[in-house]
Amino acid sequence: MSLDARFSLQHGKFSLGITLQVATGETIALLGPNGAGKSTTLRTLAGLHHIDHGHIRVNDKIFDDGGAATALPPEQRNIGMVFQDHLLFPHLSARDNIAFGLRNRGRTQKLARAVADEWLQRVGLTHRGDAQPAELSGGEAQRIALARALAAAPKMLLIDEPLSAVDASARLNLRRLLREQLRAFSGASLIVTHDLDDALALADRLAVLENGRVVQCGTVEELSQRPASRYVADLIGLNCFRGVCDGHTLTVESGASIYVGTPHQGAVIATLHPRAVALFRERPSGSPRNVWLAPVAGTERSIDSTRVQLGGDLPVIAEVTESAVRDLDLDAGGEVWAAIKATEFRVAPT
Amino acid sequence: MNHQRTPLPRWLSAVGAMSALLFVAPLIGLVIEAPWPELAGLIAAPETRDAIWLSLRCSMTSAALCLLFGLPLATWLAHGDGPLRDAVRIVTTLPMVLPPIVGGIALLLAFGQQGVVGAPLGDWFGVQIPFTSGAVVIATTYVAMPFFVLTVEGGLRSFDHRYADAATTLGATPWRAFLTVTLPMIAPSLRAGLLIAWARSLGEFGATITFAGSFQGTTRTLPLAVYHALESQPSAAIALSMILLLVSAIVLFLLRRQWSPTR
Repeated sequence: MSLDARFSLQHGKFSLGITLQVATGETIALLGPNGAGKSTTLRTLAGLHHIDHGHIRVNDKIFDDGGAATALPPEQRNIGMVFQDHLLFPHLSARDNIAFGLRNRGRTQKLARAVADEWLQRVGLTHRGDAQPAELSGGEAQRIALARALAAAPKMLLIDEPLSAVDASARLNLRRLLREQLRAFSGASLIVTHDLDDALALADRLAVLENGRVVQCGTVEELSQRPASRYVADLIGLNCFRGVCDGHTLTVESGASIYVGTPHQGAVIATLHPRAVALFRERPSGSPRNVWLAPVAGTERSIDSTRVQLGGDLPVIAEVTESAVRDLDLDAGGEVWAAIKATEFRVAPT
Repeated sequence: MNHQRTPLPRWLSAVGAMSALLFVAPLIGLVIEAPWPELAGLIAAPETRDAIWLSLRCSMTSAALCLLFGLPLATWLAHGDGPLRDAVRIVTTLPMVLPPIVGGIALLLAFGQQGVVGAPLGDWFGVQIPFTSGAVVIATTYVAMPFFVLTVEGGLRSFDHRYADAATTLGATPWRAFLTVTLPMIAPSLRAGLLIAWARSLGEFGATITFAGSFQGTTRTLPLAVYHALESQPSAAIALSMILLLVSAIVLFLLRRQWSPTR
């Protein structure tokens, strides 16, 4: 286990109790509503906050065990951190920002700049080495920040909302770069995001934080099948399909195919919220691209809605109102028409 | 970007012009009354050269001392809040508010032969501070340092400490982060603070004459020389004032980018 963390801390009125394990080479996405403690968790792992109880170990080295004297200060942890608003040093060029960590570890300026040039190439900004941070676009700045975090060969990578301050056009490219770099990175990685698409595209497993606690940690399938909270259920959407995409056509393992709104190529994972599945007695007319007749496998009631499990080649869960259950006579079983708009699927490459 | 600004109200421009007049009128008076033909001779006079040289040396030493001692103080003041810091800030700001002559008397009482600091210095090391060039530097530093400390503390308080956090995650010790990130990023307030402290030292009069006296070559700085000349030779006083004016104007011009608000 590369990162083994089980700790609690009180930060003002906010209390954090975190259990996280990340394997070598694995990326975990920390998801959760605003104020859940995602950034505080990253800052604590980086050593910018001390823990009150528990431990943080990376590669069996103790970073913090709750004792003020034994806690390793951030500069001795050898981690790479990418901050939400990149925090590039405004008085240094892009190249010298990347070289900063190596200079701190005693490399000569010449060597540090040579390594920085290699990283400029890796993040596709060879021509921007002399630029001042103020001259960089949001996407460029975030690339430099990623290069800066990785250049000193850290043991663990912590990334805070890397895509939130980047405009939509630069977002996909930056996400692709992050994917490449996370794949190439050999240590444990944690990435904070509030965007499920980013989490699915970048992470191997998801950890969901609510009110300073990890309510669930697992693969997207695990979270989808057994959501531990209402927030997880709404976030992931309860329906999750792995398959291979060829343009708009996603073929799942059972052989059924789905028409999805955004084209992809290769292995993907798609999620769908139960509310996006509409049920009809008769075959619906109109625009939905995905319409099929499905057997009703069961119904499950909660306070404000009913979930209907559909069987067949494409098993999905639909969420409908009680009146719809009566109108469609779903409790009796039988078959209903299911319809899903192509744009309701969230698709991410795996 | 070249966008049209909202025009200023006319009365505001009028009042602004009037307040500018308050500063321009004395300048004009000085320039008109200056004994121009004698100016070169007055500058060449040994008393004048002594005063200029002493003033430059003492004001720059004092600015350097403000940096050396004021920076750690400002850093500590900016590092937190609480009654202790409030008390220290009040004590450090006092010389800005006190009449300099009161500061001079206080310095004399502390560093004089019978003073709490002066007595042991004299007994153990045979050092006499009052009425030396050292006393000039202490007096000007005492009066100028608050300006430096307050300016730099303001800069440090508006500094986003997450940059220093970022530096430590990149392997910088707190000391290295301070030197390589914090200081360069607050450089504008450092420069402004140094300039204000230097200017205040150059013009210092009350504390200096009380604590250091007025001896040509050792403690008679330019402002003291002006005062001295005013009693005996008013035209020389005007000439010396012109010199002070020129030195100040030249320095302000050279450092104009450092003290004017960002454009």
